[in-house]
Amino acid sequence: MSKPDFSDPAIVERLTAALEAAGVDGIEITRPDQSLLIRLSGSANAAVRQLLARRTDAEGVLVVVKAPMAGVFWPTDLSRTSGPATSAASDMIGLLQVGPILLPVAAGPSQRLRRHLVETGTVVGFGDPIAEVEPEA
Amino acid sequence: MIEIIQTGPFNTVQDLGRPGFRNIGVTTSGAMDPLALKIGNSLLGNESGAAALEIQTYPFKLRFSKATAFAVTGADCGASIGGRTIQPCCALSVEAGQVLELGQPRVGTRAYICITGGIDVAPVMGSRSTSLRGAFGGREGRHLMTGDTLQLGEVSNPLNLPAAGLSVVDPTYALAEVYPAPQDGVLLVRAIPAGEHALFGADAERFWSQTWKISTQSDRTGYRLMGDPIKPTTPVEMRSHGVVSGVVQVPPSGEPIIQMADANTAGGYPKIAGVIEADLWRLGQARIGSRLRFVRVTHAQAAEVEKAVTGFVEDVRLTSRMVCGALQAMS
Repeated sequence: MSKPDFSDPAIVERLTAALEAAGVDGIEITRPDQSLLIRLSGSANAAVRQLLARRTDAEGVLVVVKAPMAGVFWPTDLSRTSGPATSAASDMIGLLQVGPILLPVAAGPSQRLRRHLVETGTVVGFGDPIAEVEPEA
Repeated sequence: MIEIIQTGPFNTVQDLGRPGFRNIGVTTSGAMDPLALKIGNSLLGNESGAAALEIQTYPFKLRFSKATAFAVTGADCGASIGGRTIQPCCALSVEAGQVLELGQPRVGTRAYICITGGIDVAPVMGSRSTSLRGAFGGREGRHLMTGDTLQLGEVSNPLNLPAAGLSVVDPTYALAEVYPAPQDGVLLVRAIPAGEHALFGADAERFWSQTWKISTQSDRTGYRLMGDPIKPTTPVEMRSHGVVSGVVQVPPSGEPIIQMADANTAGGYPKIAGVIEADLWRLGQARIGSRLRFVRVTHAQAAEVEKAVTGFVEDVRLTSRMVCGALQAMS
C-alpha cells in the first residue's frame, strides 16, 4: 500500500470530514517525511479548520514548536522598547507571558524560526502550535 | 563559588541594607535599585533580600566555579554567558566554568547579579552590604577586585529552571499605572514636602516646577542637582539632625542634594522634600547628566505605589515557582 500524501487537499478534506463526523477536535499525524496537524474549532454553524501540512524538501524538515504551557504569546519581549536590548538569543522564537513572568521558547538546537503560527497577544494552551522552525542554513 | 575576572571600581556586594543603626552613625547602605535586587532574587527562588553584586562600572566579568543559576536585573547591559547574549532580567542555569560578561548599559546604570543562594559573605550588623565609607561589610569592606572569590549560600528549595530560562516583564511596563513615563526625557520623581519646605517661600514652587540635572558630583551617598538655585526667605541655621535616604537637602548654594543608599546619618541643611521610597530605585538607575523633575504627592499616594510594587515582587516570586513547577509536571 502506498503512503498517502498529506499535502494533498483531497486527503486533508476527507480526514477533516471524518473528524467532524466523529466529533473529534483534531488530529496530528507525524512520520519521518511528512506531518499533518488538523485542528477544528467549531461554532454553531460551521467548523473552522487550521491545516498544517509539511513535507520533506531539499532544505529539510519543518518542525512545529508547541507551547510548553499556557500563556500569552509574545514574539519578542514587548515590555522592553530599547531597540537592541530586545534582541534575544538567536534561537528564541518567542515568549509566553504568565503574569509577570516571560517564558522564552527556543527553536531547538540548530533550528531557526520560519514563521509564527499565532498572532501577538494570543492566549495559547499547552501543546498549541506556536511556530514553524527549520534547520539552520 | 564565583571568581571575579574583570571589574572596575565601585562594584560591591549589596543586599537590602542594615537599617536600625543610624543612631550610632551607621549608614544603611544596600542596593541603589532595591526593586531590581528583589526581582532577581524572587525570580530565582531566593529570599528577596539575598546579597547580590551591584555593578556600576563596566565591563564586568565573572566565572561560576560550580553549576548554579543566576539572573542579571536592573540595567540592561547586554549580558552574555559563554559569549551568548541573554535576555534582560532572565534567570538561567549555568554550568561550572561558564563566564558571565556585562557590557556598558544600554538602559539604566546599575546591574544586579543575583545568584541562587545569594552571595555568602559574613553579615555585619545583620547585613551583607558593603559600606565603602565605613570600610566594613561585603567583601572586606571594599569594592570588588579582579581575582576575588565569593562563596554562595544554600537554598532549601531551589527552582528547577527551564533550559531557555525564565525572565520578568520590565517592571516599568508592568507597573506603568503607578510609574509615570518620563516626559521629554525628564524623569518624574515623586516627593513629599519636608520639614523646612515652608522656609523657601516662593522658591519652594520653583523647586517643584523646574527641571534639575544630576551633576557629576553624584554617587551612592547622594546626588547633587544642578539648576536655578533656591534659597530660604531668610538664612537658617539648624542643628544637625537625622536624615535618611530620599531626603532632599538644600545647602547654601541653593542646589539640592538627594540623599541616596549610603546617606549621611545626620546633616544640618534644611530639608525641602523627601523622595518617596518606591521611587528611589528609579533614581538609582538614573544617569549622571540626566534630568528630573519633582512631583508633589501625598503620603497616601506614596503608600499606594509601595503597595503596587510589593504586589509585583510577590507575584514574580509566586509565578516563577508556579511556572517551573508546571513545566516540570508536564515534561
